[in-house]
Amino acid sequence: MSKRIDRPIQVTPHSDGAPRVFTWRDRRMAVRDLLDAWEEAGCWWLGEAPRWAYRVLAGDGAVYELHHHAAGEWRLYRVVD
Amino acid sequence: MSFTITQPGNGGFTVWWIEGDSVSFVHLHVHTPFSFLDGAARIRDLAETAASLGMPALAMTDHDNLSASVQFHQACESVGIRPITGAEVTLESGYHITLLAQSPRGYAHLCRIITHGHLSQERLHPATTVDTLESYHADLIALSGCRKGLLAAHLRRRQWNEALSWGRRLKGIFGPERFFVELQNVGLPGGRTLTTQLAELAQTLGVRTVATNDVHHLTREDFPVHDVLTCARTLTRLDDVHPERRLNAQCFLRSPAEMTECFFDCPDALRATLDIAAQCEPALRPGEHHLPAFETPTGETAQAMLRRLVWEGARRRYGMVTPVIRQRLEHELGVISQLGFDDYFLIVWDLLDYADRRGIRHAGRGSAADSAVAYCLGITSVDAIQRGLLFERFMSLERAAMPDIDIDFEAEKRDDVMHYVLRKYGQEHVAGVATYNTFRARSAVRDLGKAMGLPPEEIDRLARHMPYCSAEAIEEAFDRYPELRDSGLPRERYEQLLRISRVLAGFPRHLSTHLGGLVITREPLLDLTPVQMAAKDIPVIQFDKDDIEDLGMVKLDLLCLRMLSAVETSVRLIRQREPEFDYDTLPLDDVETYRRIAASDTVGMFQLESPAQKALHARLRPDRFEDLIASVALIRPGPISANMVDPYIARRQGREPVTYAHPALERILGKTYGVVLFQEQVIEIATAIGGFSPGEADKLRRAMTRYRMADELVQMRHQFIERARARGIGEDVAQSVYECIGSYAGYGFCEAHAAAFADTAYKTAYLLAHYPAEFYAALMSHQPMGFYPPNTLLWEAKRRGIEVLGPDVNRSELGFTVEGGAIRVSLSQIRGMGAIRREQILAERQAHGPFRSFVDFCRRVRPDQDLGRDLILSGAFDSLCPNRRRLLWELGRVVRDGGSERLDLPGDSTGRQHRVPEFTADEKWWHEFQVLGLGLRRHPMEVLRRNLRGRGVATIAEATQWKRNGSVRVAGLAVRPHRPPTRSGRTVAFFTLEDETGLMDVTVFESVYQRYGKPLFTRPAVVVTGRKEGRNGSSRPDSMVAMSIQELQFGGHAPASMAPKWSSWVP
Repeated sequence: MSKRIDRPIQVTPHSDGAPRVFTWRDRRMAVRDLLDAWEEAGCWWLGEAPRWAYRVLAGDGAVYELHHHAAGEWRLYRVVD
Repeated sequence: MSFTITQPGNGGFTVWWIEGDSVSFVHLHVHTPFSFLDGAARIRDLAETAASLGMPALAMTDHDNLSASVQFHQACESVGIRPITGAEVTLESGYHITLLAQSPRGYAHLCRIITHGHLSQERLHPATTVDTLESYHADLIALSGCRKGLLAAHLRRRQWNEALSWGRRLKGIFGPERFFVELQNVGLPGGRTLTTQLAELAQTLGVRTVATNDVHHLTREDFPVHDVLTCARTLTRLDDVHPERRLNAQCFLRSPAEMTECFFDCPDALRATLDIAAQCEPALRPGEHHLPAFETPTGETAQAMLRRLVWEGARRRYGMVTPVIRQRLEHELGVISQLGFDDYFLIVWDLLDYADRRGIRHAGRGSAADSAVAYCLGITSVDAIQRGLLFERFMSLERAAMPDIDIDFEAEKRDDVMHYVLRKYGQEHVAGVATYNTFRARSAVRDLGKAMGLPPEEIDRLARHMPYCSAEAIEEAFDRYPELRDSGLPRERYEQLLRISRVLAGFPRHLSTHLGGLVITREPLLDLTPVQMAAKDIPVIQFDKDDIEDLGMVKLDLLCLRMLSAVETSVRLIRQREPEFDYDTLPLDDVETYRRIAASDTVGMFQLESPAQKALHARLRPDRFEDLIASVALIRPGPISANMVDPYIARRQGREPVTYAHPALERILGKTYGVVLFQEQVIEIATAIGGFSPGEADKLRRAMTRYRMADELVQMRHQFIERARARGIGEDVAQSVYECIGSYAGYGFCEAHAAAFADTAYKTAYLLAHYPAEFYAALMSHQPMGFYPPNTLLWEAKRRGIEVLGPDVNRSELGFTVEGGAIRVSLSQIRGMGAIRREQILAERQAHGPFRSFVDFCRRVRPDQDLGRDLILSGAFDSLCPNRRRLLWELGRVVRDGGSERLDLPGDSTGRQHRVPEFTADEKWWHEFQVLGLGLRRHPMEVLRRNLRGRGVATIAEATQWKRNGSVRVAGLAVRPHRPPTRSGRTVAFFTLEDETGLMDVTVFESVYQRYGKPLFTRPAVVVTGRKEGRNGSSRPDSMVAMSIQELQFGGHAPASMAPKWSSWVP
């Protein structure tokens, strides 16, 4: 089961850009494991910029999908139960 | 500093130096535009970028083809990096594997693997088998492939054992030294895990990994171009989701540093790319020749047979073989033999012998007409010796280029000859030549516009307004051409489309067949090229005519020329009343023929009918064959841009003195009045003034035409001047002569080719002068062809007093015929009349006599409703029943009742049958026009004439009588509007205006074109106001210069019943 959230969040990344810690619902979550990472070009024809997607196992045991947009914004895109 | 040494299969060593801590890298999985809508990087850009990034080599791996090989090889060599030829091959399972050739032997194996994939499957869906890989694995390196490789696919499905099994199979085929597990880090979901698993698998298998980047575009910024291409390929739109679409822009030509960053934890995968590259020598061997073999029926050598045939032909052509003829033929035969081309000539002779036995008309064209041997063998009809043509323009020891003979055949019978060649030499040695359908402005708008989600009607409108130009010029077309600029189409809406179209200008969209090109090799074709099936069941190689010469293969072109078909039909029709008529022995000095040409009365004549030619004839006033050769050569971009036309005409007419920069030029340029007109003259001048040998001179001529030979040209220019001076010629004279030939050589016409064309041109002019009914009937039978549309030809015939009879079910044949001096319209001209129906009607008529009535026809032929209707409306039953409306009524009953005789019309209570009123004359004319595409009884403009008179619009016949330079206002159909290149570079449009009384050629200079030019290319008829044209020495009355152009509005002119229909008609 997964739930689409798509909300801006605060993220502290590693030096390579992957998320290290993020804050969701006032809770600081450390990333225990980076499960997957990929890049999406987005709808470039509508002016959308590319973004990186990270699927992480957080400290609370849930899997989150975080998106880092080219302009710098981080968003929590999905929570996977 | 460290270095690595590897030993490729041929026993040599390659050393790659690695500076300090830097690690270079070689891309081994790269798609060029020849992955057809899956590669967005130009070959030259790939090679130059790879070189600039310090890569010592680059591979190409297109989908199931090697079409890019030659260009790729040249591009890499030009920037000093090693080309590695490979392919991404599709297996039966649909999965991919990447194969790289280590040597020419490996290349030949790759050709066989790819060919098997194409020939064993449905066309356009190649897929080969593992067994085939096994049969041809030697000298090939295999990489496991991208995500579409079976190894990766198994792992993504968590099928470790299956992946291991497949890996073992590949290792077993290629060996541990030539099989590598391919790793890619391109930012896809699951990619990290997959890479880890692949590396693990490689370790388990005991093979190395290799890093690739599955390159589909040059830079990240080029991703949108590739994405649009993918949508075009998959027939989807940008808004659609499709598994073929790349998720991101990472599949570009990464730098070595970027690849190092991606694979920092797999340094061996990076090193492996260098080791693989070092094992792969270039697969192509330019400079090698692959000549065909001809099996002589008598057992004599090819050389002996060729000599025998040539001397036999010489006696036939010349009667007596003089010392001059003998010397020339011996010289040519010597060169042919030394170059090893005897077999090639015999092959050509043999296929023409077959054509002669089958009664198929043919004519050699091009530089082959420079050869007296070709003349004696019957390949060409131009006597090279009598004309003083230079053999070295066609062939020389210095140039040692492959011969290339082009032969025109009657269009319908060309395939017969082609299949003969295929049967005789076998598919192992003969195949057709590829050509690439590339993105031009219109096709780019259609394909890419659809992919970008533009509405279909908008795409159609934009495409129809787009001129026929390169996609490179697509953005400026909006500014330059009024029919686009003033169309109301919002340019800003199409910015993205126009930009991407421009980027993709010239990219190949798909491979198709070069019509008529054939390659023939002695060794198996598959040693040199893959082969795939094209339409019409003809196997084609994967290279086009430009690459063939670089591959060292020999080509011959068996071309279709509809004019030859028209000639053959004319001859057949003429022989119905003059059985002894012989086209091949027509006198070349007929006064009436030249009179008509000089009067620009040339509509229908081969090469002589265009407005530009007509304008030239009016000034030149040709009265001999040499004039026609000159006119074929003069009306081309080169002589026009180099300002050759005016001096030539002035000198020809004695209005300007003929001068020569040096006395030695008189012999060469005398026949063209001191003007350089032909490529052969450039060669002769370089010989006479610069002391070049004929072969060197031809090389100079070619260098002048190719920008790639710029450095060589500088050297040759220096040689020319120095050698001229050594021969006592002043430097000023030498410079002047060089400049003269230099400015011309790029565009010059081959005299032999001009002579060959002039021969056909003159003879068609003769036919038109003396047998106009037969000739126009023949032209109409072989449309589309020529400059003018069929209706214009028909009306030209009528203006000459030739009656035109409509189609008739009892009199019409397949083609147009001549009956008592009148032209009878053919059955084929009727809309919807397919080949089978035509044959059926004729066979039925032949077997059981003429049709006695409409019902009789329906019972015997059983036409469907549509065909029956079109036959009626064309007037094909007028001789049986002139009331077409009545027949339409009967048609319904007959078709339904299966041909019953009972055709009673509905009656009234008294038993009297109702009378069915006939169509009006206007209605009949319109129906005929719709069904035949011809206005048989009235010209379209005649319908509008009464109303046009009220607006002060004259007929063309009237305007023709008015004074030169006087003002005129005429209206008519705008026939063949076009914009040829001009000396000034400005846009000048030309078209022919046609009304019921004649033709008027119209010139539209740029300022008028920009202001009024919109309707020219978009509407069928226009009103033109301008002045009659007159030029020095011209008495030509039927031309004008436009001052304004308006669309001819039909609403106020045509009969009310006609106007709406008229508006939708476009000729």
